[in-house]
Amino acid sequence: MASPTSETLKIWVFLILPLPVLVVLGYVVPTAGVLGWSFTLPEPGVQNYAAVLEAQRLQTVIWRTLRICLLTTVISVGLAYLIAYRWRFATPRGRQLIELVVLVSFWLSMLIRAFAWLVLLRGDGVINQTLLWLGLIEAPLPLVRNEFGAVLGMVHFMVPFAVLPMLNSFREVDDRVLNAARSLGATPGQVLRDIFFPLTLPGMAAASGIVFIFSLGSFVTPALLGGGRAVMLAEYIYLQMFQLSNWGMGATLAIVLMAMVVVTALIFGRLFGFKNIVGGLK
Amino acid sequence: MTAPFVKLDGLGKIYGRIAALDDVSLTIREGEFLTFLGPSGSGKSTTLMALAGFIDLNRGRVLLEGRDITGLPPEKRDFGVVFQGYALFPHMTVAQNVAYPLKIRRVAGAEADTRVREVLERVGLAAMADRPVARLSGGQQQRVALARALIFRPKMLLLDEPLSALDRRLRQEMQQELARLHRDFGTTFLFVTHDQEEALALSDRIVVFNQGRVEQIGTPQEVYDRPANRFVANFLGDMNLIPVRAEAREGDVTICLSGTRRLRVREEVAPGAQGWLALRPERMGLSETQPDGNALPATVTTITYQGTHLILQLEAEDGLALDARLAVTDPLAARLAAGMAVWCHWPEESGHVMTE
Repeated sequence: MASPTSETLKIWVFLILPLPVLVVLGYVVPTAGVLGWSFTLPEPGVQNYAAVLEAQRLQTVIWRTLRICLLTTVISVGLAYLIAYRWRFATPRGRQLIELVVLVSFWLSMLIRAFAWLVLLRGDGVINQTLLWLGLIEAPLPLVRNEFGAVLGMVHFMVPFAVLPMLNSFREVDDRVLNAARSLGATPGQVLRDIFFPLTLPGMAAASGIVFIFSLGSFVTPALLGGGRAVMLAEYIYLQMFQLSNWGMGATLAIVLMAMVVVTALIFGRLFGFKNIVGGLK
Repeated sequence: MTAPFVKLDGLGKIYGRIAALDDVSLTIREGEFLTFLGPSGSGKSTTLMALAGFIDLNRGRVLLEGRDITGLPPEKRDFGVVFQGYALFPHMTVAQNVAYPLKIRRVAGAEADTRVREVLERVGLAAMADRPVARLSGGQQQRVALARALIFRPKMLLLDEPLSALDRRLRQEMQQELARLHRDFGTTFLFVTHDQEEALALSDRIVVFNQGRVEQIGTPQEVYDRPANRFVANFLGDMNLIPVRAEAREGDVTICLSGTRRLRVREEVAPGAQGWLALRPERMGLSETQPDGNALPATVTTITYQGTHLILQLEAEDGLALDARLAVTDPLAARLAAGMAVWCHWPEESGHVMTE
């Protein structure tokens, strides 16, 4: 008969086993497959990667993706900082209200949100019609089906992702530390600049990393609100694979996208520590 | 007549339905070491924070040298504050923490460096200047907080239970350090504590707080020996309370009656007044035969050995419980046993009558 310890060990192995199996089947095998396609389709060789480095059209897409993501990150994190700041100094009731508003937009399907923006922003949409009726503009403003629309929709989607990791680091700032600065002669503005901002910087960095990485893979929002004029990598991969049946190029760009995500994660990890990036999600 | 240094005039603060401060009035003298003493929730910290400018009062005024500063923001008051837990800036080094008040006041360069070095030397941290504050011990963090609050030569230093987080040995060391810094800087110190030993050891004067009110203001000797009421008497250590009625005056002595026993007190108490005769256990002597003067017969109930002295619990007439402290060197100490009948006695100047 087996001893109790080896019996326990067996149970543990049995309980933990599904995890590595899932990781291998769900991530490693498909990723290896995609990597394989990128070197073998339509014919074996590195011509797909050479095209990434040379083709103007591909570089435009990659730079546009980076530009939109950077813009989205800066704006979302900026807005999220204001929201988190407000939350930090709100009454318990006020905090609940802010959390509710952030979470409701977090829970709404991104399709619903994208269509809601379309209703507001398109040429015959609510905003343009109102401005025309008021006589403030003579022709509808191009608010959607361009980069502006894509960034707007992405910012809306990303703000909750930026707020949530920040709340933790904002909460950890001790009131007494802020009061100490006041008692030493600092005005509220100086307290924000010298004490509060430096202490919340790690939370802000974590939020930036998360938002940038999530933004890199955006598909639905830029596809709907960019209207083909703000094609980002994910949408371009979709086009290559499912419209043009160019599986090799699609796979190559998927690997490029993954490399961008990994590099970003490494940079943020090196600068601010992985614990901050991951810990921010708690 | 010049205006007092600081005057608190009828401060009131209500949280919900609870009065955290209820008509708190007192004056602070320039250069003194004043202690706010009381249990938690008694209003001592609230008063300090109101003085620092962190609490909006519902009533009352704070006057600094005759000027009303009630609504002035904390940064305009020029009071140094040492918070519970020290509240150091965790992202700065020791020197950066201490230099922060100078940075705000646009004192920079050589002068700032000199002042930082000088104040760190005075608190004994000169060698630690470039350490991050997170890597300091509790006592060292305490010194940084003190240096940071003293470097800009504040009008007054407010200390909110600064020693409560330290262990016993370090507390005693820091008590001496505080006394030395007070002498050294000559700044008015306002110290908040719930520890009566700390208050007695350090203060020029003590303000005793209870339930948002000031119970008594006086020197350590006054509040210890002549408590204004039963709360103060019991909060500052053990106290025997003997119910009495003032009978007659005889010069500067009042004769009180406890049951049938006549007890003399060297105080002026209005004849007919009911009250308590307060007597510290260490002021009471024991003897086997009835002595002259104030004496009550009692039976020893328990004896607790404390090394340098014995703590005795006794039962007097009508079930009155008394405590006594007897030095182990007292000839009687070796012969005492539970159940023994003794006489408790004390000189007429040791008792204090509270008529509240």
